[in-house]
Amino acid sequence: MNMQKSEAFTAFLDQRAADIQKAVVQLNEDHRTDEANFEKIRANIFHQVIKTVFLALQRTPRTEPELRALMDARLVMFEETWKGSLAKAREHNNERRVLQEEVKLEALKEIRQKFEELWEVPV
Amino acid sequence: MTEANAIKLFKCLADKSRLQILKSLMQEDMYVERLAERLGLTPATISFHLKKLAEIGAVTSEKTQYYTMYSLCRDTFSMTILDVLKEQSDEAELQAQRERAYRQKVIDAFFEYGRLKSIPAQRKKERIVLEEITRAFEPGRIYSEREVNIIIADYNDDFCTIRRDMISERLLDRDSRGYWRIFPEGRT
Repeated sequence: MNMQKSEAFTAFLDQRAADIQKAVVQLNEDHRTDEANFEKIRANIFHQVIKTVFLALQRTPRTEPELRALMDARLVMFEETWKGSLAKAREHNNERRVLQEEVKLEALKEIRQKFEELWEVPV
Repeated sequence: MTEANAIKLFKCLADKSRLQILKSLMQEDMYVERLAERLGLTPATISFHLKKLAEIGAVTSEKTQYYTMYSLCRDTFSMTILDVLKEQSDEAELQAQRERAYRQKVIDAFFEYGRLKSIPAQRKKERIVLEEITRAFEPGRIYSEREVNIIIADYNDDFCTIRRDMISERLLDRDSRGYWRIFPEGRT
């Protein structure tokens, strides 16, 4: 496994989570509490959800192609699940849920871009 | 507007983005994408805020051929904060009960067998005690000072102080003809 890529990926997740946390503080100061709460969800995707999954995958010794394939599968799984939730939220005109799912999918898209950039997964 | 609705309204308005949306709609009716462009927010964020604003009756929407147009609900905002405060509180009966209980507690503490033990030092308590004594005066009847003193003396020997305090508390009034009871508001 290429440690440099893994470290770069986790550093990216940490950095984005930290950036978003700063935005959360700013939004709260600006009296945009609801938007701040949605940004907290975005930060959680980077720092809690994806980082946790990635670190868990790394605990077992694997080759780089194996790790790449497993992580790719996890990202696809999240995307499908959240897209399903988004469709349901739209169907029920649940604006709060729509926004939540959109924020999660936006974060996921950003993460996927970085993942592909680091591991050169064909798009 | 009920108290619960007023709370929802104020909570909803305590958000900068929602105020910006309302300010935009103040100028003209707009659809989601236009508001999103103007305010630099995503359409989903605008929809979320509009839904909240619609729930409290701050905006209304109308579907046109291509878009859903949103407009400011001016009736909601023509109401003043004073109008909201004037509304009967859901808590009013509870407050009245608490007030009655407090009043009774003061009366029980300062009266013994119908006599006033002492004049309370606290003005709020003294007012309650004086109101209780005022009930001995018939509404609409004019009393001489002697009659007033005799009535008050049934409660306490310091009738001069009590009589003067009843005047200053506007429970009794007087002129050259004598003294008469002023109805405490809402009481007989």
